[in-house]
Amino acid sequence: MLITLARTLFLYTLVMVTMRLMGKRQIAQLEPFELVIAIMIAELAVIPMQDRDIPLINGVIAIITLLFVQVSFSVLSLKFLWFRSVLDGRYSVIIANGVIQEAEMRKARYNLDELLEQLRLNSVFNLEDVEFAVLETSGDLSVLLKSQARPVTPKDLQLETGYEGLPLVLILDGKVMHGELEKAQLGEGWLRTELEKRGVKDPGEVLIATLSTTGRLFVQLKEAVRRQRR
Amino acid sequence: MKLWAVMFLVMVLIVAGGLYLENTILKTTDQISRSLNTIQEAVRNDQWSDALELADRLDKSWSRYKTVWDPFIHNHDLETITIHLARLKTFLETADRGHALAELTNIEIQLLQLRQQEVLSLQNVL
Repeated sequence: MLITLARTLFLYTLVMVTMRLMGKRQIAQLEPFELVIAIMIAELAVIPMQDRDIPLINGVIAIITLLFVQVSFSVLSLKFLWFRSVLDGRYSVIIANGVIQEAEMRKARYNLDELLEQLRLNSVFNLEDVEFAVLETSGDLSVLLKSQARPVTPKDLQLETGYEGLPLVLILDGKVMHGELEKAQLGEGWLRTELEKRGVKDPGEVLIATLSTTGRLFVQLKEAVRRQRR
Repeated sequence: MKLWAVMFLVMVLIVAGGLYLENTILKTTDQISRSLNTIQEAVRNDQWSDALELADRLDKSWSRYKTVWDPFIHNHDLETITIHLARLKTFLETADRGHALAELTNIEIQLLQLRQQEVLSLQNVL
């Protein structure tokens, strides 16, 4: 019983490290070869986990070999375009200049129902609004709407807008993020003063505090603290 | 690229380790086979105490090999040989010629299978 537990923990850690080394991608964004490797790794981990007769090393070697293959393929596909096309395939232009490309759909074995479904998932309900639709190698559909159907942007209205970068998270779950404070070239003293101005004595009472690029500090207190203050 | 280099090194180590293990298995099974032949001769000549002594020695050596091979080879295959060795010793103690020879053949076949399973060949890959 304890051996199964130890084997499971070991294999889980190995699979987690392997997946982490494979890169940051969600399942839906995996290329076909990556998906195959991910499924195989999961399966390889389960077999020696259940069967104690199978040496653990068998699973470990298979998983390491798959990781090596995946990393090698990724390196090769970064270096050679032809290799990338062989491995990932090519994207298909399903709608070009507002016209559905039937030959391309047949080639991709992609039917109209799938096209309409993916358009709806892209919040496009009227086929007439689509200028271009590209079926990506991951299976996602990228849609370019006709200029008349696109949402209005400040640029269309010739409005001047200021720079907006990523807000910095200064406090997360009561903990001061010193690294973020350094990025903003601010100290903890400044943060405490700002919190005191808002009636907060201890950063530990704060659920989240962010600083926008315009210098606005947003603070939300923890629910327990808010309840106490009511 | 750094990750690839590390992975490549790990793969080289795995291949080298695999080849070393394969070589060790071939050499050791050859050695055990020779010991089995000697035991067989002793049984045929009714030299029961000699046969038992040889079998004892072989059993001790096998325990050592088994400990080393255990993490790499299917446990069931190793256990089968251990069981047959134990049975062989009992038949030698009781001077049961028929059963002792049968057990010796059994161990020989198991060893041959182990050898064939661990060798890198197209047949095994497929």
